[in-house]
Amino acid sequence: MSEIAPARQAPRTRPSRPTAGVLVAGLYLLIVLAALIHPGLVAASGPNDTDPISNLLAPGADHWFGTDELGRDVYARVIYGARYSVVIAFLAVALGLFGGVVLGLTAALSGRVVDEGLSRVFDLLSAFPSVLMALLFSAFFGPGTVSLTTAIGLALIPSLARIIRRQAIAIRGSDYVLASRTLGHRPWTIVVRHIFPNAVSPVLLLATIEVGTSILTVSGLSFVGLGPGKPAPEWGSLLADGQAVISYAWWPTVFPGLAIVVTIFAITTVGRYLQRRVQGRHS
Amino acid sequence: MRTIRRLTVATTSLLTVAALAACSSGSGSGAQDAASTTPVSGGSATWAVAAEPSCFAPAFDDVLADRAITRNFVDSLVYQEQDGTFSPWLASQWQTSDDGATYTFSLRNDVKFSNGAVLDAAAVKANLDYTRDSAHGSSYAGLLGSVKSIKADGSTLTITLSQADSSLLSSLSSVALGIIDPASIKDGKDLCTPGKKLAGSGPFVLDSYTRGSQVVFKQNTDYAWAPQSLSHDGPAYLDEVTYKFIAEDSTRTGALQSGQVQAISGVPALSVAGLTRSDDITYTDGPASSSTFGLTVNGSSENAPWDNVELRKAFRDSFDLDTIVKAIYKGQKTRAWSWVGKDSAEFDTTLKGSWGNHVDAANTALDAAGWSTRDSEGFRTKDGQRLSLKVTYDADSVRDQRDTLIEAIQDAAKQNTGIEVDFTTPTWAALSADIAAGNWSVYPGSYGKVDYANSVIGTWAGYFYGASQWKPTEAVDLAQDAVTTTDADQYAKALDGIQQYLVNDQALFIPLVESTFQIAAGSALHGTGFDYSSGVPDSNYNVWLSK
Amino acid sequence: MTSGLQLLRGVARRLAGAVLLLWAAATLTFVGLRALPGSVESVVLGVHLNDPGLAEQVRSSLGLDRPFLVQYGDYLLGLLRGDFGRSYVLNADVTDVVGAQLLPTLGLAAASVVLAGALAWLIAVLSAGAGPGTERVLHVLELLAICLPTFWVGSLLQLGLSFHLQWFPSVGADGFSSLVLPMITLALPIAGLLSQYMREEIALTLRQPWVLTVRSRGASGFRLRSVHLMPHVAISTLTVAGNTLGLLIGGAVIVESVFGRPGLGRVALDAVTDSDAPVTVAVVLIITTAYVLITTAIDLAALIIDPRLRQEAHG
Repeated sequence: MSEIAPARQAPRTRPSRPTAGVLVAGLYLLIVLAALIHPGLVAASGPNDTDPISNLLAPGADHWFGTDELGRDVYARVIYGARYSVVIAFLAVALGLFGGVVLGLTAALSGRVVDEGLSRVFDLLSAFPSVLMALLFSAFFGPGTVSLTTAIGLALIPSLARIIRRQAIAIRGSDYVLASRTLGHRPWTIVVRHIFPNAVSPVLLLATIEVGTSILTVSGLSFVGLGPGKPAPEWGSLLADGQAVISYAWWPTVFPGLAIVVTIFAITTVGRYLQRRVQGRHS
Repeated sequence: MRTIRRLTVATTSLLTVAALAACSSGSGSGAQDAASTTPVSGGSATWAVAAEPSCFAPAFDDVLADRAITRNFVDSLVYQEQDGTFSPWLASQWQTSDDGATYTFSLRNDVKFSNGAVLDAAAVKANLDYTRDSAHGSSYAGLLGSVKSIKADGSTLTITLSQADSSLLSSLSSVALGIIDPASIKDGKDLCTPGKKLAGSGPFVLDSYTRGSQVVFKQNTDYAWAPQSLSHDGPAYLDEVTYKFIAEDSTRTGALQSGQVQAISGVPALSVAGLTRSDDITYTDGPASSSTFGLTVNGSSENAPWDNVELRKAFRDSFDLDTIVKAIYKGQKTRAWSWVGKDSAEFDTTLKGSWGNHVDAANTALDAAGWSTRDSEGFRTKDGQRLSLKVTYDADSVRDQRDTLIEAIQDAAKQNTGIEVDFTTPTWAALSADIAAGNWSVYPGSYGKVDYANSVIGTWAGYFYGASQWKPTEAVDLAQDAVTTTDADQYAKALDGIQQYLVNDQALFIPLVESTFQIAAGSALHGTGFDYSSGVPDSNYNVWLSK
Repeated sequence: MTSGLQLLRGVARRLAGAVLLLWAAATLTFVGLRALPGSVESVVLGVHLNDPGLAEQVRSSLGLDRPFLVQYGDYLLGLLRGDFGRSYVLNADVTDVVGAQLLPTLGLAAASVVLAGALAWLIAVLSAGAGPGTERVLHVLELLAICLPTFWVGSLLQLGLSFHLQWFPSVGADGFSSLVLPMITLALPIAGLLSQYMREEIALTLRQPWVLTVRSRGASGFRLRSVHLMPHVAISTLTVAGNTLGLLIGGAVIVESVFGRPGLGRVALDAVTDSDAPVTVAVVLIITTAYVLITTAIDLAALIIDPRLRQEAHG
């Protein structure tokens, strides 16, 4: 399911210092983080403050990204929209990660029957890619934030769980776990102290990158009407709104689109950089 | 996409008075000026429409906009003129008995369905009998509710009513009671998907249908029974007509601008300025002779505290609709004052300027009703309860930026009066279950081209309040008066009373914008116009392409 | 154990797994379909839900009044015959609704994959071993291709190449010209992904000892990359290609809606907004089946090509 491939193996050069691109991306993500925690800091007006008289104004000093068909500030909507697009994606990945860790470790550390059974469950889940899963959930429980988050999260479980299972099995057989065992440590202690941190930490970074992919999925599904619904300024719905007035104004379409692209780009860039660093340290 | 399916359904046809002129004005009727040039035959035209018809069989064709497509291959017994009068079509003439309870139609005897079958009185009877039998589940059974029996004898059709019903001709002129080959009519809803079995007598014949993409019609070369009042007879001008289904507004407009289609219906207001800037495109807005788009508010105690009329009025007056409508639609749409369209004879002009945008009065009323405290978000509260109004609009029905309009009202109500508008777009299944249970709060919608008095009974007695103890009895009683009276003045008075009651006195319906259909067409396409029996774009019978 | 027998066992195992998977998916969707009491009647009847007798009529005509297990058995038998039941909303059999949409979607998907594969291959072959500058530019471009929202690219392409330049039709599915824009839109992210993978794979392979041998025999750089390396890279890329299926499916839903194309994605989307569960389920099952078939085929191909996997498959 990992649609944005993580950086594989160690690259030729080991990047110890971040490049300018990575720094810019990191800085951008800090702004996004600020927008998430306290959007009022970054945007002066509210996302749903309408002002019909000054609607569809072109970008200018008062409205950096212009206004939409209700005179709402597109900049404010994009900023507050992060609270939907990024947060839903983040929650979905958190759900996927939680499921992946629990099921992956269970598969690795339980008996053969459980392992075998869980593998089948992973196979089954991975036969429903996120968009398909979201369609199913929307059909059964109605479209909306909860259906969307759960569906994307569930779809993430199998790939993450498989990686964790593989890591855990490798670590279980490693020298220091064997050593720890001969020292008489209890199995539970070994799991908590050795297997869990070593199996999960590489996956954490992969999960970061998955947040980027999930933003794409979330906004795509909102675009076709399976998202949080109006007036939530989710980025995909902003684009759908902009689409309706595109013959009149380009800004309600262009800026939310840029927000999506730049955010995913930044997350992926920083995520891959961190991944390289971690791998570099381990190898 | 199912706005209308909901409500035309509920109209149980009763009696109405003689004066039922449907649309008198025709300000927006403007069929293009075809007289200045001589029509030429030949060529094929492509339309882009917003929604794919859910059904092509007249009896189950529940979406108003879909009738524009069905009309191409389905004729009706009588033809409704722009002034609301009726003229011959499949019936060459008819008589009404003195008591108004018997109609005798003489049918043309040269009409054939596109599969060769003859259209006679027995065929018409089979159609009407099928539709009016409620066991078949046609939404239009109610249109024939006053019919006692139908007799067919060669080319003579006699309809006997249980009591006089002058809405009968109006109903018969509509696509809903259009005539198709009776041989396959028992197939019922299976006819919804167009195929060989579905044969009409219209100027075009169904040729091919690709679900999700398009439907293609070919000229009916045998066609010789057009309504006499039209500018020509014989077959249609065009050889072929295609309707493409393009849901995305901007794509539809783009396709027209780039010449990939010759006409579109459902023209987004914001695109109108851009479209008409070019000399190559003409834009026409249809007649505002149907019920308007507005918010229907539940006045029963299930919707407490909104069963308090003072609260409903306060909400109604809490926003500046003029400014909102002007901004959103850039002057292309008119704000509504009543439940009745402004181009209808029944429209009560005294409603103009009588309500709305009285923010101070609204705030005073809300304070007086005890909603005087505010919570942290600025919304009014009473005993810790937030003053909140649930507006649910099924996602499918949203069109014409109506969701944007509601968002504007949502914010205005919050800023001006501290009323929370909780706006959601659930699925129709979820929403209709709530309505059926009486468990609804505010439904935004327009009820299409209807017989107003019948519609009041259908919607405000049955549909919305079927499960409630409380009913807007006064409006329903007035509507009963309107349908049973034979006096034109009394009819008009009853209709005025209904509008005053629903909008002004009780705020059970808050009108927002006039509900119209629009056409934008390339300059090479001539003769487009509206079907006055439904207010939707007409068939392509008059349409021609200049070379 | 002989290698042939191992191969057979591996194949049988994979096939059995695929069948099991499909059965589980069908069962899961069936349970979901039936788990919500009352919803079916309200979808079919709308506000007529409370009209006397109608709900029962709907239940019996759809067979919902029979015992659960009987319904389940019928459902599975129906699936085997390609019968998905009747749509709640469209007044048609689901098989008829969905069947007509299969080809347009398949065509779009296949064309996009071929285009993406060709693009990725071209980029990989031309650029492998190029300087770090080219490398970096390509890296950014690939990432961009992956990050761009499909619906955004689709409408921008439409605006530019169809409405303004009028090179291609903006909507519909008539002939190849109408396929071009949707195909490009859908192929972009997949091309980005594949190209990324191929280039890394080539870089890794170039460091293998046998490459030196080939090189020492005088093969040119281009010939080496396009002829000798490609089979290796292609096989490992194939396994990644399976991952792009999710991308393809999600993309198709959106692309079909932006370009007004008939297809499974659009039908599914309409079905979801109309609460037409049988159609949704049918589309999901068809796509899942395709997914399982393709991944199984890829597995089997890998199994046949690479003998080491046979051991793994066994153990």
